Amino acid sequence: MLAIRDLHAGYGKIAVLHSVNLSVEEGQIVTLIGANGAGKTTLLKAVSGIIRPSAGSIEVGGANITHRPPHKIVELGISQVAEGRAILKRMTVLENLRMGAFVRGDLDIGRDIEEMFQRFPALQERQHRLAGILSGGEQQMLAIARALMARPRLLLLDEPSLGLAPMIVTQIFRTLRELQGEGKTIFLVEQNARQALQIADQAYVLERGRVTLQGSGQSFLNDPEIQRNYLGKHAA
Amino acid sequence: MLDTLFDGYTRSILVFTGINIIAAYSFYLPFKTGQVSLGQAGFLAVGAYAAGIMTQKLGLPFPVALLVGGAITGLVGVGVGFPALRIRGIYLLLLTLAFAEIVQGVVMTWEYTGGAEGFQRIPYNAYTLDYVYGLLVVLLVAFARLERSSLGRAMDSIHEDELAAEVMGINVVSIKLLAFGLGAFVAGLAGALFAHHATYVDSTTFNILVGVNILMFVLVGGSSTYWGPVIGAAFLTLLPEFLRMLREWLELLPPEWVEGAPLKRIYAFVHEFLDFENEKRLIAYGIILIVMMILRPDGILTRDSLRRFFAGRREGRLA
Repeated sequence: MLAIRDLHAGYGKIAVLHSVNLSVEEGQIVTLIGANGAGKTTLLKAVSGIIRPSAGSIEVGGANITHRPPHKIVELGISQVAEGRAILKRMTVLENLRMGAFVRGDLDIGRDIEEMFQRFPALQERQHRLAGILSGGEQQMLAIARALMARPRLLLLDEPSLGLAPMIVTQIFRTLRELQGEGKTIFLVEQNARQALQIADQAYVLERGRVTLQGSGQSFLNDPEIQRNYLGKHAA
Repeated sequence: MLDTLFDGYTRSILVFTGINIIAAYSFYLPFKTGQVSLGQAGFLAVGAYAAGIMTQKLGLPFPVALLVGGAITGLVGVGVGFPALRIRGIYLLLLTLAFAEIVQGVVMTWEYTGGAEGFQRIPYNAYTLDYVYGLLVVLLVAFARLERSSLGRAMDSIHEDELAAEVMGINVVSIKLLAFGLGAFVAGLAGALFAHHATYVDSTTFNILVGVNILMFVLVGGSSTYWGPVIGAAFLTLLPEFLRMLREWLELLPPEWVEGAPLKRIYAFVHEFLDFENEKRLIAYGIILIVMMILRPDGILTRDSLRRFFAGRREGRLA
């Protein structure tokens, strides 16, 4: 579904990613873990077209999207839940959801909104409230729901657990699993390695702009080096 | 037509209020996508001169000059909008300010349109009042539709959070350019209408202060709804007239009422302060702006206040 080959990207003269290779198979949850500043967000920004890679290629379903502008990439069925949620704080919950369907030509969004309300009942209760007054967890749910309104094939998430209570994080990861069950492909960038690896089919470790390890989520959980560096376990 | 209904004084105030509202809309359009322009006066000048050349030098009829002048200004706007895409905030403010300065410089040195002596004998348009309010109705209808359209929502989203807009699939670049160009087009119309009402414009007609005033119209009126620019432009244009009226009423006070020492000084101060012709009204503007910032930072009229007003009326009807 998503294939990244030899990708180099950065900001102006500052190179962040050095020859990243990574692939996401259809229907899988793939997670990318790494420390602050490893380049995780930069990679997602390159995939969603917000920054232009300096070299390499990004393909989605066989189509090369390397130099396409962000709105064209959304039209191809790739939605991003951006870092820090990026909801429209001065619009209501309902307006945010409607905006999520911006790229869709069809008028059937009422049913999709109903679906989102069933998935996230808290959003239904607050549909006429301004998004900015929601709690952090509700804002994250809104961000995910809004991304889903575009009916994406591939959902990109940038640290959805950031700054949220453990219970809410568990709930959000459960939602991601459900979405996978419904056929969505998910690429998840996380610092919360343990929970991300628990739901991931495939996992990658990004260190200083390079992929240093890859494997299944389960094998990562049992890997002593990963345990030491990313799961906070110390070797006995 | 409309002008037969009013005396000359009222007519002139109505024309200037209307042109100011149109100019305020020219600022409101790019502002809807988060672009703050201090250079709208420059676009007014481009429209005024372009249309003036067409009527006075080329002998074209006014309606043609108005539309073509507006279109030319719109194209100039897209040209200025391109570099404006990459910068925001204070830098965009400076860029647009520089643009207005360049226009002023060109106009002052361009002998074809009179240079520093000004562009004289622009044909007088007897129907300015009809044109101005006709255009206003068109603009209001257009903005009412924009508000409910997905384009309008996209603009609001860009204003709020460009990253959010991008990840939702909004073509941020095109919409920002469109808004900037349309804003310039509207400014060009306002400039053309003004030129053919005043029949004379020069390089000082559309100075920096005009740009600041236009910005004030929108910020004071409220920028979250399209009624804001109307309220702001009308309020600030009519305010000096109101102050002048106050001054006239003040003069009707019997002199013995203000004989006492402190009263006399207060009277003299207020009398002087309300003098429409002097620059003290700029102080009044400044005070209004500061008070506004504290009491109603989002302007006199906001989307929420409109919402509440209409919700209240609906509930009232049900009861």
